[in-house]
Amino acid sequence: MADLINLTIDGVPVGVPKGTLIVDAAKRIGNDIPVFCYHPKLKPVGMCRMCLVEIGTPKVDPATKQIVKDDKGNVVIAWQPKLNTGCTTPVSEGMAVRTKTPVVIEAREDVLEFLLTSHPLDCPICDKGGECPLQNLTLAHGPGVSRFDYADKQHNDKHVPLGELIFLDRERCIQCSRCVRFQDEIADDHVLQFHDRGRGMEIVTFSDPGFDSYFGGNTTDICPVGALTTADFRFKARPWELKSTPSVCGHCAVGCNTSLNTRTNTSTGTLDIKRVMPRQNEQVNEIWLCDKGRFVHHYTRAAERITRPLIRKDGKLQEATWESALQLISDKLNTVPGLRVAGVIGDRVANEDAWLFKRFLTEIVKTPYVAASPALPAAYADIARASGLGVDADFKQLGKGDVIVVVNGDLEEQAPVWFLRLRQAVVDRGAKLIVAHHRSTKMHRYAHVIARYQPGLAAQWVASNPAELQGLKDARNVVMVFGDDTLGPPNARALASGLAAVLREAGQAGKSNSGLLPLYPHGNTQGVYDVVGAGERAQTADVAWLVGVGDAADAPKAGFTIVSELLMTDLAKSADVVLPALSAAERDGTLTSGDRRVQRFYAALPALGEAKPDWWAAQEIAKRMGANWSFPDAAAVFADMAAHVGPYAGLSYAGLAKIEAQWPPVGRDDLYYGGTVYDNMGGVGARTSPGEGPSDAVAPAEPTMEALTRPQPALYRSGELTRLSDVIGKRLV
Amino acid sequence: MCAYAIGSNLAYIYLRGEFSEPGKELEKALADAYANGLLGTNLMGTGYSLDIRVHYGAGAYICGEESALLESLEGRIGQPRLKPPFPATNGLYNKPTVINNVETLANVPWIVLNGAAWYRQFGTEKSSGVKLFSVSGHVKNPGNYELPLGKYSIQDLLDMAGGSSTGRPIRAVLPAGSSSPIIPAVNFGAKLDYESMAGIGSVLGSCSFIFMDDSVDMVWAARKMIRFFKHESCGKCTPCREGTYWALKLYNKLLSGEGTLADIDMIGEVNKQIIGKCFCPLGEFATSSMTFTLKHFKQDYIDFIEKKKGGTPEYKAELARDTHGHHAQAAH
Ligand SMILES: Cc1cc2nc3c(=O)[nH]c(=O)nc-3n(C[C@H](O)[C@H](O)[C@H](O)COP(=O)(O)O)c2cc1C
Ligand code: SF4
Ligand code: SF4
Ligand code: SF4
Ligand code: FES
Repeated sequence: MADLINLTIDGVPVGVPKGTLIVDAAKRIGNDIPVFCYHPKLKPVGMCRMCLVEIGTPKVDPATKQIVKDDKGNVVIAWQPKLNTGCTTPVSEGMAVRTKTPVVIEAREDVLEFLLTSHPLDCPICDKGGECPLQNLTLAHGPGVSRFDYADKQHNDKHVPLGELIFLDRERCIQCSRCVRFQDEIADDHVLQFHDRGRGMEIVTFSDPGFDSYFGGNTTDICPVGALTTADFRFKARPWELKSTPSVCGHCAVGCNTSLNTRTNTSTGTLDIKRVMPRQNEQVNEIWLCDKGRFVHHYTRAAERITRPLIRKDGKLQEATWESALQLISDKLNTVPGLRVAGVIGDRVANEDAWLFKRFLTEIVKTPYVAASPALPAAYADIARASGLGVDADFKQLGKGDVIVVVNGDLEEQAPVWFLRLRQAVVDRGAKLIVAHHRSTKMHRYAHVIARYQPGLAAQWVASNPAELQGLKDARNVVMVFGDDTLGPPNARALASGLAAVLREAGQAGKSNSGLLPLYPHGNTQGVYDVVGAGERAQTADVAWLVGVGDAADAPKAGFTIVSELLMTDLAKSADVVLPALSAAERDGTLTSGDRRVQRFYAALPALGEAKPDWWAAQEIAKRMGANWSFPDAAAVFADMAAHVGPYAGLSYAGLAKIEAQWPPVGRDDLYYGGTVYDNMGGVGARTSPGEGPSDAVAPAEPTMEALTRPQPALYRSGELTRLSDVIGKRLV
Repeated sequence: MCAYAIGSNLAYIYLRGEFSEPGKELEKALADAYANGLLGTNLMGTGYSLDIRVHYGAGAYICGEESALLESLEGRIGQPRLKPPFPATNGLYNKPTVINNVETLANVPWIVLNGAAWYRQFGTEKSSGVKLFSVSGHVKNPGNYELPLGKYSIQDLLDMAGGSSTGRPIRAVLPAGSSSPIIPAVNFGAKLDYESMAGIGSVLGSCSFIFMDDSVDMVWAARKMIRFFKHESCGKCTPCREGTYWALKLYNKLLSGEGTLADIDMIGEVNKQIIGKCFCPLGEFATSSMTFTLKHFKQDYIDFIEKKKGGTPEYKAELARDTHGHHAQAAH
């Protein structure tokens, strides 16, 4: 790189980009300057004083303005008389930094001893114990003993609910302001602040309800002590007892990388999910999660889970063996013509399930009626893919010169972590934002251009060649986020095709950081539509098989209905056969995010009861119907899918598990940045190519009443899975 | 004139909230200025307009620090900002801002009217001009004295203020309130200018001279100052927030009569531990009360222990007042 700044840290030379802070430069060469208030995702504040170092710059002769050299020709360094904070000082050419001298070491001991004077030292009962930067840094840099009289300790409230999700322990807070800054700088929910001053300073929330944000859980990760804990995890387990399994959140199109933390429940002997943590993937979620993704996991162990196959007998669903259920289904399918069989595949199931079902229904049953649920995204998923972002698209690169267009979508409600990332592209890096919607969204706060239209007329607005969408030719890149709120299938397709046409006409199509970004309803909408395609929907059938279908409207009227499900939904209750499915926590597989990244998740829990992956059920019945399939595991199914489904060609299950080094390093073993975020184990996934797709313009249609009166998308819209979480179930609207 | 020079149409006077009485005078003066066309729109037909607003602080010493002042003016908690950027480029509401003391600005008209050379005839080579000395403590005539720099000594100032009000000898003076290095009477010959004050290890600073007679115990005085700084610490940075708390606990121990000689050393240690590590000068100010009472009046500390001066009913009452009275909340 051309404009690297060169400096030495403890004599070790390092070159870093202009603007890099000393602590980050040191980190590049493996020198962990201890920090508390500094966090690489937040703006520096210099409050805690832990990162004090000696800083010097080349001495300049005031007369000649030349750099002074000693007899041996070495540059003479003018050392600053006082220690200074490495977290607030950007590097400069020729700078010298000393991080291991006695004054620096003593300063660290001093600051730590001070911090501990007001700390309760209740590590044995603290949730952060074991993954606590204060503990770690005290061991590494602290004085061996404290000279502070324990009786002089100030005692504060220990269980202050900031909201229903987050608790504050006032004694443990070291006043680093990371939580305040996260809420202000990243979430843009200004709900936390310091109150009072000096030793009285405490974190308070001033929103009503308290800590009103979709992102609050992240503050508990980056809090460098156990001051902030979640209602979900506090007092539930010690971090070192937890086993962590890489996973992927399937609750919206973002596909945040997660780590499922599990521990054996000593009273029941079962393995339980204790918490869901972010797993660092700078391409996807960085180190963040929304509170839905973090707290929704309780459905995996809900009483409503189906644990054994059920067969309707005497008008009632009764427990049965897999053998009898499989036999019953294959007998049934053998007796009806393929044309009278319909399959519907929901967009929460894994790619492997969708693929093997699709193959089973088309190849073995020989029915054309295979459709995806919900029906609406089927209207545009092909366009969203073909005109989507390039394979190498990187949200972090979006900034000055780029344009982000959001049409008919509510980013924060529909794809919370994309909201964080695109907002930063606008607010911090200078991308231009155009927002068009029939109502206001949080993204409107940052918009440079706002367009409004009547509800249901988003496609008409785009087709009208609006002034707001002129001039996109000059943009470096254009990202177009869109949603299907108030649109029926024809208009949703018209909107997608209209936006794709705008991209083409502006010369933006095909650029790596340009393209459509669809706000799909779930975590594998793209994957399921990639597999199923437009599909054909049957209104009636003799046998219908519904795999993870949430909406009763997507179910054909059938004489015999098979439901593969996690939970006893209304559809399951009225089925003839119910097959218990495994949740993503209990098996492995892949999901495809809204920006077409295929990512692997892994089994963290043992199978619940006799539940099986859906692909397994499809294979078992295929075998009973004469197919000689033998897919031993999800990997084999994935390989089969990659061989048959265009966009997945060339992908391998093992390749998806590839790990890439993440910068900044915020892993849990790191003394330097802290935070309980997990390293990226399990792989960063791979984005599939857009492939070929339709480019015909679709004319907008009249809005329909059904579409106009549909509930507007919201993160906590009544949902079966969310309802089952004690912590966020209450937030349902 | 300052506002005119930088092309600003809006100025604020940030006044301590406690100064409500002077505030009334100030507001009346501003009202007069408006009435006479010296403030408002199109001043004296120049097309230039200026509004001045008075903002009352909420009682925080730190809000005298320029960037904390800006935070307070903007309606936020009074804590200093990280610098750079400096107010001159990113000040109030992120706009370039000039911040000066009223006293500084009060010199401007005379310099504009009479020229710099005229102003420089007052004072010394390095400390030019005149300064307001605000004298209080054990003096007969407390008040403000405007003097050219470098001409008079501390003793002269004490004499101008009528000398000791108690009849007891004056023992020491704080030249810039509690944030300044205390000066023992032996050094009262020093001239009132920046160089001379630096020469005796002190500062001129705000020139708020507090004279103390020999009845003042320096342990008591230092505790009073530490208590003030502990109460005024904004809490932003660790050394000041935690250090002043700890130091006050140690001084309280001395006052309560339970102190030991080791506690005196501990005060020195805590003090050393704060020095040079704070985010802003307030924390550093807090250390001068310890550093310089220990330097010049160490015997007071030793006597305090050895002659068992602590634990008197007066001291106990004082300690009780602090933990239960007005400042109780800040003392917990
Ligand atoms: C803790 C602290 C308190 C201060 N309090 C005051 C104050 O009350 N009045 C004041 O004029 N300057 C105060 N200052 C100094 C101001 O920050 C600033 O330097 C000064 O007002 C600049 O004006 P001048 O250059 O005209 O003196 C304080 C500084 C610090 C660090
Ligand atoms: S609660 Fe945690 S993150 Fe927030 S200021 Fe306190 S220590 Fe820092
Ligand atoms: S943003 Fe979406 S993918 Fe990420 S945690 Fe939230 S619901 Fe899950
Ligand atoms: S030194 Fe630190 S705690 Fe003290 S007033 Fe300044 S910023 Fe606040
Ligand atoms: S002051 Fe640098 S990390 Fe806190």
